[in-house]
Amino acid sequence: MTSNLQVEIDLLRQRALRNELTLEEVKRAVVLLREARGKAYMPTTKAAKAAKPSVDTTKLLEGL
Amino acid sequence: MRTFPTAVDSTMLASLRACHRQFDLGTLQSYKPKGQSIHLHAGGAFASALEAARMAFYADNKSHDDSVALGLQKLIEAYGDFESGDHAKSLDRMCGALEYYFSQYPMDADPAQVITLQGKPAVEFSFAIPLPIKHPDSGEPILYAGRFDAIMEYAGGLYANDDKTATSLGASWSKQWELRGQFIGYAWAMREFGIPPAGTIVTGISILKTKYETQRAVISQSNDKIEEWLQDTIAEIEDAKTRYVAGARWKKNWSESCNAYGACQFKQCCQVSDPQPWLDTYFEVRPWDPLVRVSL
Repeated sequence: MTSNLQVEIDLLRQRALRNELTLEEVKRAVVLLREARGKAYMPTTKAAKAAKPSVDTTKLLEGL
Repeated sequence: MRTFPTAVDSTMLASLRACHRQFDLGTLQSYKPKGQSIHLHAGGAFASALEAARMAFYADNKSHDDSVALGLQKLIEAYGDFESGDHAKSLDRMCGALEYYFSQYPMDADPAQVITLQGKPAVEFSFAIPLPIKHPDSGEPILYAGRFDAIMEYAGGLYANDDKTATSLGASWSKQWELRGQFIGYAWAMREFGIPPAGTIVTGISILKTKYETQRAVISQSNDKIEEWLQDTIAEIEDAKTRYVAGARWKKNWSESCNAYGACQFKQCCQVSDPQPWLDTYFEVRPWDPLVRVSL
């Protein structure tokens, strides 16, 4: 699966190949990379909590 | 056709020490695999990005963030239209690795700081120093050549810095460098230039599809170790020269070097009685000149 970050970097690559890449564009990319790293390094316990369903599906299945 | 190198670098020496046949095929006969290795391409682009960022910060007094951005720009340009396929060292992962590197070693707060030599930051510069060995064909002194990533001041001492990209860094990664000839050679070169070497800083960054990691090893290089390395290096090159002049046999190692670093590039050739068809099909002759750091 292609992520938004991959798409952004590939766009910058295309602009670099045409000699159109600007420092401002690259500075925005640095921010995106920093944000992506922040998400990737979110502690797993927080990620697990966020992923936990709010409804107990076991109980729902028992009711069927 | 065999040609003895006019300049020897650490890669050639490592090959000579690992396996005579590998040295013969790769250095004397200049066989290189066809196509570009993603590890070399991505590693080269990353090195040029570090250089651009450090030059922006230390030479042009740019802010840390602007310097990192200029490094990223260089990385994207140097990576170019290389197709990485599904490899972990894709362009976007390499860009992430650069941002991660400078988040861990910010130039404005890193205890290891690039020094200034003759008014310029000591970043990415080459050296070539004559050895007391005459070239077997020209009679000129053979040179020992290399290139520093940077020279840094750290904890009151001067260190050659070397950055290494890797797929992964194991628990013993930092313990493998104490006797690495490449780094002792850097310390010798520093000494020859009148820069007293305290040692080497090796900074490794691993680039996986899901995460980055880094480790830094600080190795001391004593004068005794440097001197012994120098004497062994001279003896090894003299031995190779003698074999070259005599047209002696370049023997296979028949051991671990066949499998080191994911297997020797000539492993398949060494398994057949006539390697020439393999060489003609999968390799090309590209002499490497460490003085200009390009394949000729």
